Amino acid sequence: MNKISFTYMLLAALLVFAPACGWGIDGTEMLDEKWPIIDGDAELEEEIEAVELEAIEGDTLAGQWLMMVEFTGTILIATLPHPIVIRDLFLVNINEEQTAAELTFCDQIQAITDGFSMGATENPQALKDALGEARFSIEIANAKKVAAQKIAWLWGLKDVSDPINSDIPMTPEDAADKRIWDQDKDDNPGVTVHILAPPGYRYMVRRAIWDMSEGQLSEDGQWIEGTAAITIEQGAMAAVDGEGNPSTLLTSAAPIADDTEVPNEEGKVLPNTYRLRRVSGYDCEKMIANYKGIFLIEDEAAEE
Amino acid sequence: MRKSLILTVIFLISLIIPQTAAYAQDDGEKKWYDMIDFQGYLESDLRFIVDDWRGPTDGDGYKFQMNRNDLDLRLGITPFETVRAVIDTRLRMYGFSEADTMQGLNSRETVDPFAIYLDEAYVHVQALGWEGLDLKVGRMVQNWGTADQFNPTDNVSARDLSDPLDSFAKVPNQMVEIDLYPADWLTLNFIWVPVFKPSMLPPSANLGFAIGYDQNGCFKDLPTPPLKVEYMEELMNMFGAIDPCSLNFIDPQMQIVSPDLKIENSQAAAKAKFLVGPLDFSLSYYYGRWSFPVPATGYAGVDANAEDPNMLDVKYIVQLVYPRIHVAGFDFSYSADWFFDVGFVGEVAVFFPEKVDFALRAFQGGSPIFDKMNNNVPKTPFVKATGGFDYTFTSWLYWNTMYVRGFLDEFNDIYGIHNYIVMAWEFKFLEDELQFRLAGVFGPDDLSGSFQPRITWIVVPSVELFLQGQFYFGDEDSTNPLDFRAKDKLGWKPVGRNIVALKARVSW
Repeated sequence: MNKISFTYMLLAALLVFAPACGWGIDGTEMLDEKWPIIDGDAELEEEIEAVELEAIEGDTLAGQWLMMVEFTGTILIATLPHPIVIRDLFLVNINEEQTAAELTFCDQIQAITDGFSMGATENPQALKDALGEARFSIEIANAKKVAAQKIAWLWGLKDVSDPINSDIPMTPEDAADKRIWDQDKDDNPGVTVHILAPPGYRYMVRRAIWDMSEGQLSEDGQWIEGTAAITIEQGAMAAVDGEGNPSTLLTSAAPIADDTEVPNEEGKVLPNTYRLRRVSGYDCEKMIANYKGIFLIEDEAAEE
Repeated sequence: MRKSLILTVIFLISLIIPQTAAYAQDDGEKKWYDMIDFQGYLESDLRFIVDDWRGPTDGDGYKFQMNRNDLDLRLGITPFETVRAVIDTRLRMYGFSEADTMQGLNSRETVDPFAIYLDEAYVHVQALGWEGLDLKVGRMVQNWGTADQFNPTDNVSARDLSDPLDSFAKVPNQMVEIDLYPADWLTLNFIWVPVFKPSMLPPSANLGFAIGYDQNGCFKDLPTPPLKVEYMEELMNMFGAIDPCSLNFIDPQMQIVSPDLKIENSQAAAKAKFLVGPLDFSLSYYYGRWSFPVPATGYAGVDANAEDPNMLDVKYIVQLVYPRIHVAGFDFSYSADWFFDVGFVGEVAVFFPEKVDFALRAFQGGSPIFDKMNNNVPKTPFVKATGGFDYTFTSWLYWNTMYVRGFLDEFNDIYGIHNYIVMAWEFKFLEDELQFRLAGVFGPDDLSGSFQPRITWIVVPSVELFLQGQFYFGDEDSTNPLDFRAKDKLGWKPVGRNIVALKARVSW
């Protein structure tokens, strides 16, 4: 075979097989055509209006404050971690002696931020009221800052000998534990949490341990800010589905873990925080209505 | 490209017309009955399922599977010496009533359903302008390769595997074939198939994509998609945390994504066949599509049930595609008269496939909860091959054995290409009046297989009775439902049912 005919054959072969080089069926592209994933956070972007607060003049810390404890972590549902943000809102009253701040629970706002709704919960009003009645205090140091301290915040539990270190009831087998307290007075063990999906109610106890750093007073005297390592334990005694039938599935409370040591997409490690803002004339209703404009507007500004 | 094809078609038509006119003048005195020939058969086929463990649910079985009658009529018309038209039709009566309402009983089509097949309909013009040039246009099937059944070089016509006892059947398609005979020892075939047609699958294949339910009717497992095991573990854990009885799968769908009817999606093939004494061999090339569906995407949508707050509706959709391929093939057959007249056959095909990346996405309440992708078919070329021999010991004993690399439907996806041994023994008695055939396929990779015994009684010439069976062995279910590869190729339920069949056939 001479060189020319060999070259022709090679060219012919290339013409035949070359188109295969660019071939490809991309399943992701096909899915994007029919079932696309909309980019961005699954949580709807909400425009937050700033709430203008007058500066409260005062020589001491005594008086009314609003407090938000913000937990950023993961909730493990079906073995897959989903990002969750939990914001606990309190009315705070610092005593005249500036030794303690008494916390009155107003609300807890939970959001699974990737849009996953399975396992999401909300707190019934009876639970909010019961938690609001069970006031507790944090320590103020040297009349100028929140002391570094460890606080155990208990739901549906009482007479726990060591609130921070004692084991707490976690499973239906522990239902006879005397420390389980029908705190919301609905005749079910512990407190009752409403599960949104799959729908139902869980009867449970909860312990949040805040390992708080010192909270520093801002120069203008209006803010106290600190960080906190937060541990959350939830034990479920029983659960019922939407029709009131016992449900084994709903009895498992999804574990919630702190992920503040994990860098975010931008490589930053964002700790859990607690922030207090000096106010006057606030009640829970007003706080719930305004907390975003007070606490979250700053986050938005920081992001910008 | 489009222009040149149109010109080619016009050129071919211009060649046919004058040829046809010339023969009409020459054969003016030919009688009409000299111009036609008539063949066909009548076949009655009764089949019974002899298992109750290979169906969609345990306990489904020991019942009739088929009660079919086929009337095949093949008409050949030769109006001129060099022109022949063939029409092969089949009337198929299924034999099971489909009437499930009172209204259904008013219709013969429902009580006695039937279908009409047009298996072949083409015109064959010989000596088209030149003695060594033939043209065939119309609906036909192509059979390439030299081996028995397992022909990796045979990709022009899609397979019709709808009948598990007939693995030779093909799906007819419209095509244009040009045959050239430049020398006694050389035949050239060129084929153009304008529109792609997929292979037909046995009804049992649907089980491969079925949702698994337990004895209580609760969700057990998803049809295993071609995803990595670690991705599948994530997916199943997601569903595993939910009460399986609260999942309501709504009509799982396997959507076929067919190629567009563009000329770029046409298929083309060429073959050069050489006859060198006792050796026949061919070099072939095919461009087209793999005719078996390959999964490309999976979608699962979970939403709250509108009526029952304790139920979750799950919609599951898989999209299947037909990847493009180039296939370069070589086949041969050789009769070794110097070695006991043993006949050797072999085929090798190198496939250049289109890459397929499989992606699976799940949504809950419209929000994504799972999104994974991995390669299903790499673009790396792969080889399928068949090699074997047959030998006639005596007038009453015949033996055929082949090694097969790559089963009919294997395409180097995540499951991969596997090895098989195919064997057939034929015994003939009473001057061939009574025949016994035992054929089987064995997969040494997973130790699964199937065998097909058949007794044939030729009552009188052209009247045959068959008693035959089809049996499978190996694991019916996947050994690991999370692993696409963990299935016994020939034991897996979707391959088919264990059956016995009684057939009668009259041919003319």
